[in-house]
Amino acid sequence: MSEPVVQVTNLRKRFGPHEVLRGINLRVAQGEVVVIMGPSGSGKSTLLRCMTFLEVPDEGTICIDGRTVTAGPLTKERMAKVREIRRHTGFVFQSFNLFPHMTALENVMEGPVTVLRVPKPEARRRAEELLGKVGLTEHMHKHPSRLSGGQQQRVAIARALAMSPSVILFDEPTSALDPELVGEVLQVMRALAREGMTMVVVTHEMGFAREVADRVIMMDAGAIVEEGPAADIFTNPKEERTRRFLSRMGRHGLP
Amino acid sequence: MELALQSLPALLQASLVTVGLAAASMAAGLVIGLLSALIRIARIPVLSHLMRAYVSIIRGTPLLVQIYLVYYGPPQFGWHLEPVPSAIVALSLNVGAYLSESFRGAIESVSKGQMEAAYTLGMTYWTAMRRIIVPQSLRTALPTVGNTYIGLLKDTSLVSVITVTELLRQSNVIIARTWKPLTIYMTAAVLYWFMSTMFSFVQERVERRVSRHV
Amino acid sequence: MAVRQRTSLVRLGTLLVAALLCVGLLSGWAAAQSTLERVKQTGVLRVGLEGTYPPFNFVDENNRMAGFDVDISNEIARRLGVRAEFVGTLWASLISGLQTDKFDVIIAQMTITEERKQSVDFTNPYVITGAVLVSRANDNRFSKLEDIAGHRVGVGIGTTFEEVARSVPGADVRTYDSFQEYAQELLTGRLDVIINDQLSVAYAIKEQGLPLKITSDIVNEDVIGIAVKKGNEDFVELLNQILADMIADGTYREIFQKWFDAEPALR
Repeated sequence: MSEPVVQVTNLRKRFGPHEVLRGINLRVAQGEVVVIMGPSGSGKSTLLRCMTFLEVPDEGTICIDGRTVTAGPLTKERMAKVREIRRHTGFVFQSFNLFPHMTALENVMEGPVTVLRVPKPEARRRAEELLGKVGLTEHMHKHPSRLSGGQQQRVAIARALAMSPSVILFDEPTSALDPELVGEVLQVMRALAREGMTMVVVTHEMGFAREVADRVIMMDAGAIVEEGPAADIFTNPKEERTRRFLSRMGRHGLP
Repeated sequence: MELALQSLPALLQASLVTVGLAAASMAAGLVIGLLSALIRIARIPVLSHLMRAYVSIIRGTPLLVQIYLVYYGPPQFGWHLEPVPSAIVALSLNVGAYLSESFRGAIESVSKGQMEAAYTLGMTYWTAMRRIIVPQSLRTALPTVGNTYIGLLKDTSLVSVITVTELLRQSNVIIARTWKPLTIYMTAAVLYWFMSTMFSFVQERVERRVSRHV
Repeated sequence: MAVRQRTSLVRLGTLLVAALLCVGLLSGWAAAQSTLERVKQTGVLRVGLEGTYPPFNFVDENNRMAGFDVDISNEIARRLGVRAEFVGTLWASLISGLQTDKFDVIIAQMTITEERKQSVDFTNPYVITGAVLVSRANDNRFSKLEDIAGHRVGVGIGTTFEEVARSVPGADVRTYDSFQEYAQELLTGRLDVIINDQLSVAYAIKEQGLPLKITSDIVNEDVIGIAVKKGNEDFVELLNQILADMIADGTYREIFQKWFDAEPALR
């Protein structure tokens, strides 16, 4: 078995008295698409956020593409390692978080130019190419305020791709979208998966999981309860908690 | 009317001093305000306490007292400052404290997600501030900054007490000669009004251009 | 919560005391260069005056400082071999300006008083004049100082005129920054009487055609000198010599009569 792109070991995080992550272990192989599901408050978003230190984990180790950080106070040395990891890890937020004072193109160029010091003409060529890939060529000179939610999320994906990440973490990328705009974003994500991008996706989109995920992870109360191929998990869940979650999803449609 | 016209050249010249004082103090005040806001938000040890004290002292004391202190204080230690530089120092320290509060508010009003997005690209705190947070907060702060400038324009009249011949002092000087306070003060008031209104006009246009995307 | 508030109050109190101590220590400090040295070194005699007190010191139509004090200053500067420069300052700020070296001398109709001698040194007098009561032209109530009792009296803040007015029990004394302000208040009826220098009042009434009149004899003699920062005896002596020379050779009389239709009291 080849070296995993992501290896999370015994990750723990508390918010006050509440233990949000109770020792998570996670390996993601090169080119693998992992979908994380679970009821709200199960810790799935916190897991993603801890992986890039947007939340500082209390315990555990994170290794992404060969770069390892252990949990602990944010010293200068640790921050440098964290930044190194962040540079190689794309992150797509539920609420897009595009930079509103920049055009779509500038949003995509920002990371390469400011962080990676790529010369501007080169960064611009690459950004144009990526925006073309997510289908936004004719919108690239618009500011986010003039784009629809779906378009904004596609710009955000292009912005993550511009850093040539080893893995992209998606934190409920379609939850903030109007239903009719969900499709265009999932389509871009499908295409990425086909190209072999390593992805960890927190989502409630069962269709997407069934079609694209190599592996589905069920989380509940800060722990992984079950994992396996989408088909197995959805049609033949072993755990009671998985069954309960799936039946709720079924009754209400998409939460 | 004739007197108003006669005294107009001198008053206009003094108006230039007023505008110049306001512009110079504003420029310095913007730098002071932004830096002190950043220092406070980043909670830099010692410095941020100093900045908090600075803002508290300036906002808690009258500008007139500050002007007197800047003018008469430093010479006690053998440091001499001419009236105009003293005026600019006092005014920029004053306006800097108020801008510091405006900027702090504006920076804090930028959503948390913006900082996170910058972090996920691998930016440091200060790079994120410079590239992402501050540019957005400047746009938010623009209306307040504009109003502060108009306030400052009028506050310059206070430095007449330390011998700076700006519009108000020039008016008093002309009144001493002509004994026509009503005419001269009216003329001065019109000039202050004109300057403020001109600036408001410019401010509105700039605001409309800049804040389209925030 | 109450305890917390108290501790933060205590802390605030400590801070306040510390701040006041700092202020106390700092103001004890002083910088030293003699005035004469500085005047010679810079080639400039900086004169503090109001610039709003015609005909002694005011800004003329050409936006230049003019008046009796200005002519005297220029003559003194000439004899010192330097150039005079004028700093227009509010009356109440003149002495603090001198003490903080904003200018080298005050030549601004400052009467020599015991109280001021605590803060500054004076030369021999360069004008002897007197304060008079002034009322509206149709008002005959004020002929001697005691008449101001029970009336609204306007004077300049921190002037000898204020002292004179306050010496009368029952006078409702109001203070202003400049002569024009209280003269104006008298004209509009918000004051009943004002006290000011005879020379200045006579000049203002004549020049501006004001409906005011001088209604008393001199109520207080003002002996006016040049103020110099304390500790400059050499400079005071030099200025005294120059004043004596100016009076002896007739320059002083010439300047005096350029501004006033009278013989100077100093001869």
